[in-house]
Amino acid sequence: MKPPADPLNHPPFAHLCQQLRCLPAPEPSAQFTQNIMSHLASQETVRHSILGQIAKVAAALALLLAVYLIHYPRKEYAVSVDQSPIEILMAAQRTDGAWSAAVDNQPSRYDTGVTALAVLALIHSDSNPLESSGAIAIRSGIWHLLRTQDEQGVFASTVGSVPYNHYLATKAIETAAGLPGADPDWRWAARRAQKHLPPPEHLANLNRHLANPSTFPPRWAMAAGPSAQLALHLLRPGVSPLF
Amino acid sequence: MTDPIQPPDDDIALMAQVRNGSPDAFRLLVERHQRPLLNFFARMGAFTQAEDLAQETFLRLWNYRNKYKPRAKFTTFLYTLARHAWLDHIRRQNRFRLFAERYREESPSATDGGMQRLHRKLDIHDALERLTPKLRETLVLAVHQGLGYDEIASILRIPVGTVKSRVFNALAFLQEIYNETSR
Repeated sequence: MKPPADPLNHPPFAHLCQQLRCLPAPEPSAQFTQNIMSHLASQETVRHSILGQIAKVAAALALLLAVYLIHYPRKEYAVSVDQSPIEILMAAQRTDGAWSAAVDNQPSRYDTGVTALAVLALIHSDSNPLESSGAIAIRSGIWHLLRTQDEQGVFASTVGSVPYNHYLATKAIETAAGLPGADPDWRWAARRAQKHLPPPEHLANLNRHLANPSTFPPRWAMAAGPSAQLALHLLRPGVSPLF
Repeated sequence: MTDPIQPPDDDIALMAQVRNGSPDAFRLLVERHQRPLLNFFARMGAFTQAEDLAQETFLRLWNYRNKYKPRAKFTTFLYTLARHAWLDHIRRQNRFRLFAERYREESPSATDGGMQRLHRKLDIHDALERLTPKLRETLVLAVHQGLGYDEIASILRIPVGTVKSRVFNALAFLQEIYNETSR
């Protein structure tokens, strides 16, 4: 049977609908609205309380993050601005006792001369260098130089026409050999090396450079790298207490 | 002359204020719709829990106030929420019923409480209870709540033709029962 277009107003159902509509509707209690509003208020209080708790936790986490970022253990560099030039120079020494001409501290052909300059700078930084805090650096530097000396007494890795490497290594060994507490072998190595120093007029120029490091050829000083420049700075008159 | 502080008669305007978090507007809506809502739940068979369910519906109305779109009639939104509250209530009842049945089966002293032996005079209210839930909710929305077929279709998410068909079937079923008992 197809339902009528408007079953509620279908005449056969009129009496039934009338009866249905006459069913008594329940009355809300006197506190109905008040109950809802109270429930709503407590619900909002709980919500604000939860939001407040979340906000507090978020603030605490932000604070912890800020503290962590402030005290984040940053990468420690070997060279610090608080360090003295001597400490910086010692920190630049490689584990094989040498100082490098390269910025990345890798071996280079200037290393013998740079190591010699660094040893000289450390020697001249203290009145009793082999008893000072730089003693180990000096001894390991000299040990490295001695390893580069060949059987004839020449320090290898001569660069160009001017034997800076040999000259500076000889001066470093020679100076160290004269210190209290020096190894006797150093003197013997110095004597062997002295035989191969350049002619007197050339040697005078080199001595003048060493006595006044600012006269070192800039090209060589630049090529010798930061450790050499720091050593030359320490060897300048007025900087080194022994010059 | 119209009082400028008179609350708006329009439920949609009140609901706009509720959306902005106005408890006063919400209170007005509660007072305006509490009786029809109670009647809805009572006619659906939850006479004793009608007030709880109506309150639950109003709380849902507050919590979902931002989901209301003024495109639809306010009562469509309200009775959709009421229906969801009712369905949740039915699910809870079913869970309890299953538990109670199991309890009765397991308990040696349990009886049916004489409910099956109780023959009551069939009145219109009893006849309503014999309707299937689908027919009953459609009829209650149409007869007791006075909603139009279109609006009921929106609330129940069924075609208008199905609404009319359900209303007709419900009324036909009630009439048949009524005729039987009045013989």
